[in-house]
Amino acid sequence: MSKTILEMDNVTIRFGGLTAVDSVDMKIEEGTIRALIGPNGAGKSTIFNLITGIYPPSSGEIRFRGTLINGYKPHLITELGIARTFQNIRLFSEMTVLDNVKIGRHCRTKAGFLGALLRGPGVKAEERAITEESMEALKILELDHKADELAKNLPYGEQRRLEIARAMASNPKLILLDEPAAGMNPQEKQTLMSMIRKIQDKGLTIFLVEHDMKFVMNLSDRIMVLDYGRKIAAGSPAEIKSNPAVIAAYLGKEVG
Amino acid sequence: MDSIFSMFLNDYYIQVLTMLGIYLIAALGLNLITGVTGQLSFGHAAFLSIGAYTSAIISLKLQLPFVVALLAAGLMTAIWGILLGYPTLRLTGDYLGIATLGFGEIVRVVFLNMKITGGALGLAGIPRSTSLTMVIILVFITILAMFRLENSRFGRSLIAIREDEIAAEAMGINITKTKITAFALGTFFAGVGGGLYAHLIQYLNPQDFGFVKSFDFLAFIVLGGLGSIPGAILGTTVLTLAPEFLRFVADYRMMIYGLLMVFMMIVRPRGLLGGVKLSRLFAKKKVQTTGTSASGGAN
Amino acid sequence: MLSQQILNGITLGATYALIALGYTMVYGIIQLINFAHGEIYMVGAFVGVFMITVFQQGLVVSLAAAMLACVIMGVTIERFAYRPLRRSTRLAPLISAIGLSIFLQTLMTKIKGPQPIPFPHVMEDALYKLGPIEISKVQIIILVVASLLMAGLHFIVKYVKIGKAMRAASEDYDTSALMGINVNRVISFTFAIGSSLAAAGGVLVGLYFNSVSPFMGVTAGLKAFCAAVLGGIGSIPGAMLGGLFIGVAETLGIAGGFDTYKDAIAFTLLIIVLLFRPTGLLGRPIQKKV
Repeated sequence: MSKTILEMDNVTIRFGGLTAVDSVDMKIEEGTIRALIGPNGAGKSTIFNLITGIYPPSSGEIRFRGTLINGYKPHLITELGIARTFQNIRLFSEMTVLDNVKIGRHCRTKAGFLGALLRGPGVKAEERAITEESMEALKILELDHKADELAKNLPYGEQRRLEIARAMASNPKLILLDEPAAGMNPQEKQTLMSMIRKIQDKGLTIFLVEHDMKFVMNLSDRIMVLDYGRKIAAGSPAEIKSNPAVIAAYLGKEVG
Repeated sequence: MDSIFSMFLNDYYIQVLTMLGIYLIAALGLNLITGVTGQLSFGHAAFLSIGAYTSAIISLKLQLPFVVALLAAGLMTAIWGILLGYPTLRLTGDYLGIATLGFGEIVRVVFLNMKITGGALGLAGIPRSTSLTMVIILVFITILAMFRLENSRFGRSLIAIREDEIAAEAMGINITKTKITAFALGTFFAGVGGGLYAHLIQYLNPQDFGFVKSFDFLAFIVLGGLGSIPGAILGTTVLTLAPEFLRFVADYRMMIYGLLMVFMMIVRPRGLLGGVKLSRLFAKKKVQTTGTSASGGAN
Repeated sequence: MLSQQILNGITLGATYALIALGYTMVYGIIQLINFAHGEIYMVGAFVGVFMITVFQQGLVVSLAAAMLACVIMGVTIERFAYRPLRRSTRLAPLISAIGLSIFLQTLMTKIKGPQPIPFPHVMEDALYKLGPIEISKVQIIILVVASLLMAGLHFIVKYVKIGKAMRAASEDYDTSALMGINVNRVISFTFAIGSSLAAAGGVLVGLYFNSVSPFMGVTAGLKAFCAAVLGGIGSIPGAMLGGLFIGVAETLGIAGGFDTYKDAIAFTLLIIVLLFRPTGLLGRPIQKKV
């Protein structure tokens, strides 16, 4: 259980004069749930964007299962086995729910435009497999009954889940969830929590950013706290709750 | 079959219908680029002209069969599509449109200055090899090809790029490669259309492929409904035949045509068949009612 | 010789800049490439000719009348052809603009015929020598009028309330609406200003080349648009800089023996600039937001 899946070593990114992420070190063990918390603007989403290759770090190293992935293009990182969701939902809104998830299968399949034109038996078989596997991903997130709806017509909570299903479809080893519970009511959050556990049971590692402390404390194995781009604390939920630096950063806001 | 057509239609209408078919092939190509993939192209006519000149020169100088000339036209155009696409497809939205517009004008001026194209005098004496039957067959092949492309793993990746480029990339799609492939395919059909055009009109002049013509193609697919195959077909048909039906107003024809474009756009901002997909028509599934929100197309 | 060509280029560029300003201001606020703008410029030129020949007016009155006529036209076009499409896909108003452009061209062809007509003779030709450079009276008029108009624009945008509102709307359309700016009025005003500058450009170009035609808006509009993008679309100084840049480059290109490639010069420059600075010379870089 102690095998490291993701390692950040002294990672920094600057935008002009602003240092959004400042010398962050981190190790995530395979099969665990790691949470990243911190006040607004602390650099949480930026860390996700660094890991998924949307921004290359200004300095430092990011390793995924031992491979240095600095400067890799996002699609290559996904191919290696990191998938993500977005804080401000980014679904393909004019596509159906099923087609959204099918995009997740993209990097695991290979038919190109010639295959599309000729539709040989291999291509048809691949397409059938894509459909099956996508339906499976939808089932985990309990969205299979909505497969034929347009993504934009789903209610908000289901859109968040659809993003997770889409990410799952790419067979990731590590999945990054950017505020998965945002905008959900307590019941929806409860369901989501059990879904995330189910994903963990499948052997995946989960790294999530979330503002709901109850959600975070109940779900995570370890938590990292970020403030002004710097790591100010890391540890188990219990340790984080009682950490004075964390309490100071949240300034009186009750943690837990 | 051509003889059957000529029993019912006079030469003029055969010419008009053949031209419509050619425009359909080219417009469906543009629809793949702009409608499906969401990449704005203001230079489609230039790609037609590349195809037209390539095929005409092959027919005139090398005397190769028409099929070879057409295929070469498509391939040559696709190569230019790739050459233009490679540096410019990283530009987004309007800037890509502007770069393609510029490319189109440069192509026109270059053709005006080249010897082999006959320069400003144009290129005449191209054999009339394009027939209505052949064009109809090619239109059906194009529609089938577009339908298959759209409803495939490849097609899904195109639509994903149109809908959200960042999410598409994060889901493992190689954006640059996919966009360039779409551009190459779309321009291939423009090239074939150009080849057919050259062998129908039998005379080429660079001035016939200016940016005004590029905008015509854009209007076809936007008015029809971006990203919709039936939309592209309807838009092209309506706008190509409109000037013919407007003949009774004689001199006011193009004025009315222009106003018609404005009017149709205001009445149906999403195009005549915006959001209508061929696969959904066949599947007899309820087409989702779509809101008034801006969506689809090159936003 | 070179300095002479540069002067000629600046004169041409000043007219491009006048047209480019309309493109850039409209784009800055509603992100619309107003392809009917070239036609407004063309109509402006014809109104100028009309005032001089039919009403026997002088250049100043004719210029003012052309500008006024185009203000009305620009505002009307925005109200009826673009405003209903403001919340639809980006391409919808573009197609509407193309339709309008076809309409205006054919309308003018119907009225005046497709052939270019000469611009009436309003003043005696005179050449002045400035050291090695010769400058004609027409050139002086063009440069003076263009500079005055651009200075006026600068004043409005910088110091007048509606001009400030324009800047706010182009910075952030939605927020400025929330802040109580009447965005519809600002957009109308933008079209009014842009159209009047284009009309002035039309009259000045007619005067300079002694020719006016229903199709003059096509190439000039396209090149002015090029100038706007080259300078950085949405940026007013960018449009001025872009206009001058293209004017000078074109004049030097012709003098350098590339006259048959004249119409490609602007676009070649544009593509080169875009590849290295994707938002133009003075445009703000696009921040990739995730």
